[in-house]
Amino acid sequence: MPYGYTGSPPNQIINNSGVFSSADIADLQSQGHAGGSLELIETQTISSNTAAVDFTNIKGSQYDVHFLEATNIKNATDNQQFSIRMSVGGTFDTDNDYQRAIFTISADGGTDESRDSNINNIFFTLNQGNATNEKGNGYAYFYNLHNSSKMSFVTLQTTTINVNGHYKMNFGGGVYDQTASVDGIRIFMSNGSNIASGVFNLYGVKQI
Amino acid sequence: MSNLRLINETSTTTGVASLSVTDVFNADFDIYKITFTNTELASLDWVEFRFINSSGSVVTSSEYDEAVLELDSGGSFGEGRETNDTNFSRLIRSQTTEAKGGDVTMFLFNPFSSSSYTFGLVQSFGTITNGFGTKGIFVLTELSSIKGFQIYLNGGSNINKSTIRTYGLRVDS
Repeated sequence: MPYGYTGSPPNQIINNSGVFSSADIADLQSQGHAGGSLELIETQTISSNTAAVDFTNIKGSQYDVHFLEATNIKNATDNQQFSIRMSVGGTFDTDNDYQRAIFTISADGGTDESRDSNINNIFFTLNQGNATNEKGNGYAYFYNLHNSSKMSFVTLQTTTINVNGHYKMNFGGGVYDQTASVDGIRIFMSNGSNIASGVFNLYGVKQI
Repeated sequence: MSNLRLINETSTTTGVASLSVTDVFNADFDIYKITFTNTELASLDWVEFRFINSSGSVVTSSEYDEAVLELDSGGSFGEGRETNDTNFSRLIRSQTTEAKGGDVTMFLFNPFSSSSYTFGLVQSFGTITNGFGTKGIFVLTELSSIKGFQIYLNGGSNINKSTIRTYGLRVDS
């Protein structure tokens, strides 16, 4: 249909011009041609010790790709890992149903291959320090969480200060290796200690 | 409103030898984000990637360089490197069932510009025996205007399923 006309649009294919009506915009958005494509689902801000950050309304039927953005995240206990778990039917899976392969690089020397094919979470950061101003930042993409016939894959990249006070970055990913419809994402510390602070934004990546 | 703009969604649910996405890069954007999801291959294989130029021809010249770290949750990590290759040969190593097929997020820089090389960043995770991902970079060292891309399998078998979404990163001046 021709866009940019209020009232009755002309019955011909012509270039867009004029003013878009609300109906035009709604139609274009439904086709993915208008509107932003990173749609905020929920923001969680942590300012005191918290055991876990749970996203339990991920709108999985609307998106097959989710984007998690974590900024200024700080662990309450030194030298710990922020980690990821998934929930199915409202229950977070604590079994060894996860695999990870993450490469880490530290400014104070050395690289490391962090891998496991039978573990109960996916690391998001590794060996993160928690002295003053030692905070981490990063992102993760989640794929096909809602699809009950597919495993749920994650790719991630994080940038932190390590336990020695030096820069450390991590990239890689993991898989929740169950074919189940995931309905929640949990961020927590792998050893059960607390998250001290941070902002976590979960977005859906728009699809048609 | 975020600055990501969905440009195109291309998918297949039947076996095809290659899947092309055409006429998605233009002067409107310099940076593009592309996701590959719901992929199922006819055989366990590497998915390879080539560009399509402004004439609609697949770029097969020996002007692709790549460096990819292969992350295996069950074994030592590997390095994949190529220079002057005819494709980007390590988009993702994926499986024969949709359940185990992996997913990819890619960023492309300046594909439409004919005065700049086209650079790419790729991050993927899927399965072979265990969880298996990649983190890589690649470049097309050719000063041509690129308008699309194509994926296919190293071994020549079919892509049974895949959904490819292309987004532009809008810059507000």
